[in-house]
Parts: sequence; C-alpha cells; structure tokens
Amino acid sequence: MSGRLTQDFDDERDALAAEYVLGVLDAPERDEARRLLLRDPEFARYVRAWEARLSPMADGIPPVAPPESLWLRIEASLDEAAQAQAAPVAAPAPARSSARFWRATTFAAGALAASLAAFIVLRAPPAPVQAVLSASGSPAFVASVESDGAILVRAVGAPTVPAGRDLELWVLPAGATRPVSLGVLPSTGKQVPAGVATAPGTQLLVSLEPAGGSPTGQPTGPVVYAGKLQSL
Amino acid sequence: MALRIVRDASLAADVLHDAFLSVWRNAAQFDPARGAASAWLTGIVRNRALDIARRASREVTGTELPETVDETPDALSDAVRTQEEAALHRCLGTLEEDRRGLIVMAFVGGLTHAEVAQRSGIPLGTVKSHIRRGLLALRSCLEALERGA
Repeated sequence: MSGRLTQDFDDERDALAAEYVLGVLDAPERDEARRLLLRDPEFARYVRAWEARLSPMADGIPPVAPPESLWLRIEASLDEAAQAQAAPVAAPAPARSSARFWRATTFAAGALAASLAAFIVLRAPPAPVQAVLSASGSPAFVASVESDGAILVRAVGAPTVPAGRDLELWVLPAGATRPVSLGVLPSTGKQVPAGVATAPGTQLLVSLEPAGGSPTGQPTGPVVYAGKLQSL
Repeated sequence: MALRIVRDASLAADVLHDAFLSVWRNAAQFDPARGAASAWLTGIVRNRALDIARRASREVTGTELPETVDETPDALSDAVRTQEEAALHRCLGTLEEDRRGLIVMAFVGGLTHAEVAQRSGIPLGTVKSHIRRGLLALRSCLEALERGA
C-alpha cells in the first residue's frame, strides 16, 4: 500500500509493529498483528523495540483515580489466583526460580548485586499501587499501596532467605540519596503503615541483611530487588 | 491512560483489572534483559485498553474527557525524567509538526487511523502515510541518539 513511498520501512513487519504499538490499527488489523506476534519472533522483537520507544509518551497523560470498587475486584481475583496456585499439583514456576535464585546466593553472595532486577510498581493514584518485585526476572513479591497510603507486600514465589539473614525493605523518594528503612521483610510479605512516600518516581528497594535487619540504619548488604513507582 | 483510550469509566476499570491480573500471572515471563519494566507495563495496559476499545467500537461514546492533555510534545516536558523520555521528547520535537501532532493524538487517545482522520479532517491515506513517515523518522532519530550516547 505505502510500499512505494520514497521513505519507508525496510521491513513491512517493522511498520506494522510501529502501528500496532502506536495503537492506530483497527480490530481486524490488530488481530492480524496478534497472530503474527505469536508465530514470528522477529515481529515480536520489533514490537518490543517500539514499546520501548513509545511508552515514555504515556507519562505525559495525567492519571485519573479508578473507583475504589476496582481494588476490591482485583483483591478478590488475586486471592482466587493465589488459591489456585496453592494447589499441590505443580509447583508454580516462580517459586522454583526464586528458590534457584536464593540457592545461588548462598554460594555466591557477591553475585547478588549483579542480579539486581525489576521491582515493578503499578501506580494508580490516589488508590492502591501494585508492584511486582523480582530478581533475575523471577517474581518474589507483589506490593500494593492501599488507598490510605499503607503498603501491602505479599509473597508471590515463596522466596527462601538464607539462614541467618533477613530481607529488609527500603523506600527511596525521588531525589533522595539515602533510603529509609521500612523494616525487615518476612518472606511471606508484610504491611507497612501509611506515612511513607508513594509518589511516582519513588523507589522501593529490598536488601539482604544480617538477621534482624541492618544494624546501621542504612543497607549493609546487596540490594536484591529495586524498582520505581509508576503511574498507569 | 486506560480511561483516555476506552472513554468509559467502567471499561477503564475492566482494563486495569485485567492488566493487574495479567501482570500477576505473567511476571515470571518478564525478562529484564528485553527491556525496561515500565515499557512492559505500559504495553500490557495499553494493549488491553485498545482491545476493549476496538471491541466496543466506541458505540457508546461515553464521557468525553476534558482535554487536559495538551497534545504536543510540550505536554511531556514536566514528565521528562528518564533518559528514554528525554530522548523521545527531543525526537518528537524534530518531526514535522503535522506528523508529530497526528502521532501524539493517536497514541494519547488510542485512536485508529480512521478516527485520527475523522478528528483531524485529514484524508485517511494522508494520515496513514504521515504517521508512517513520522514513526520512521522517530526511529531514526532515537537510534541516532542511542548510538551517540
């Protein structure tokens, strides 16, 4: 169609990926792109590249608070999902990879800093924030900021903490240089009372500390999870 | 973001509901080596919103949102925080004004080619080629910045 333009994409699939991510395709075209996404790894790479290029535009869109009822629905669905996962049939993949991750750390604690990975936070102010804390791509925790500002951190993959060590949760507001401790983070998760920064750009960090938490008030061990509050 | 695309509060709630569950279920598949978590998340929410918007075909126009978004790159300036945002902002600024306007309008509103044509009063074929050439120029600019960095 536009193949005769003087300036055009070398690969038509790259153009389709760009239009797919921009969102200008109509329903049949989107379906076609979806099908291509499943069977063409090259097209999938194009799509990821365009998502990386265009997603910063979303940050120019002012957030609108979703209704309170939404969070109850999400809570309910997550509880259902958690119960389904608890069925003793097959160990969920996240648990396995987390265990592998932690086993590795007991042998090479020094490698921990290198595996610093995403701690994803979905933010929909002023209602709850959701976060996925992962290491090396395998999730360990999901955190949500409740409407009253409390942060609820739940375990996803049942991370195993090496004996004699504890995880500690920290908050680092945008622009700040020293994180503030939110206390030891049990492997099952915890609830942090309101009063902590939750503005977009705020980072949440999890470090590996001696039992009982950092003795100095600042992280002494490697930061194993980190991520930024993000507005949706 | 979701509300701006689907234009209906309860549909937007559906989008966020599905997106959260999707994040929950697919977090294990997230591979940091493939790109930033923020782009991954934005992709999940936008895709869900676009699917729902296309399915609804906007039969219900819903509440027309107040145009609080200035659909120019300047709307981004307050949000420029990361290197990626700064790069995109800079490259959008290098595009010809009509192409830039159409791209930002499409992205922010989650509009199809046809909807962009209808709103802008520009013929569909022209909209398509403007957007394509704009995206191509954007890609070249971003790649050049990346190489230079």
